[in-house]
Amino acid sequence: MFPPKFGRYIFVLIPTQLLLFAGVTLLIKYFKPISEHVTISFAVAGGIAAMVANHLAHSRTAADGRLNAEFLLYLFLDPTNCDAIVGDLEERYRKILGKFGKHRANFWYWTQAIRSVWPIAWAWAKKTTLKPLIGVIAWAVAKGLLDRDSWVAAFVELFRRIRS
Amino acid sequence: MAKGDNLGEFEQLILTGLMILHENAYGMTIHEKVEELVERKRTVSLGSVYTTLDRLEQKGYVRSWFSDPTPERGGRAKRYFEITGAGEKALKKSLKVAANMVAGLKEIGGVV
Repeated sequence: MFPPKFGRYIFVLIPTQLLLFAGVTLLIKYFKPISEHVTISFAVAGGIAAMVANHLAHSRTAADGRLNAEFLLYLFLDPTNCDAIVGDLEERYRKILGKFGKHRANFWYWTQAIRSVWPIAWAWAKKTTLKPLIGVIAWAVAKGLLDRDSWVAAFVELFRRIRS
Repeated sequence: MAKGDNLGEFEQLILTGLMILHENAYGMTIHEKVEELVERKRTVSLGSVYTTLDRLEQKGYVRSWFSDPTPERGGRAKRYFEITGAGEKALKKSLKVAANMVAGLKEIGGVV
């Protein structure tokens, strides 16, 4: 129905961007009183825009079936590091392609890309969310919110205070 | 020795790979070498190799730099890695512990 590239951008890239921007907007709305979080949100939005731009710039040179795998990695890595990983994948892909053919090379590339995303995403999550999470917990402790019967009650009270 | 100075098994594998590869140590070759060292008995992803290398760099056991882009990699740069003096020291310490374990098991006619 659509040319392959057009379909990819319509069904993958644009919905992903819309979801991310909706997430960032919600984050800004609900965490407005905390200026640090707003700054982080803008930084995240800027980072995502840069990654998408980088992805689009490289899309002219890479083979079609491997673009989305690259995009997965671009979500969690800075462009320079991501280029190094994608370059390694590309180099080994060409090796396997020469020895065993396209199907096996494509299978190897995709399994490697998918298996690589998890440790990278986990490292990214630890680096980006751990400090704000510790900050929120410390703030909650300082406000005396954790001195309650259950953590659910403390969480509800924390959420209520953030929103008010 | 602080707890953070101890090396995990995968960190030992990566550092061993770096020592073997010497000047030709970048993502793909390190990945291939680690797969060779584990005799393909366990799956190793390129992502886990990179995250471990980043962690080792933060600990000061590894240093890295980028090369110029090459056409066989679709115009992308290579990230080269090199083991530092502290890294070599930490690896030797870990291997000594492993050697002690092997010796201990041999004494009782154990599993090795």
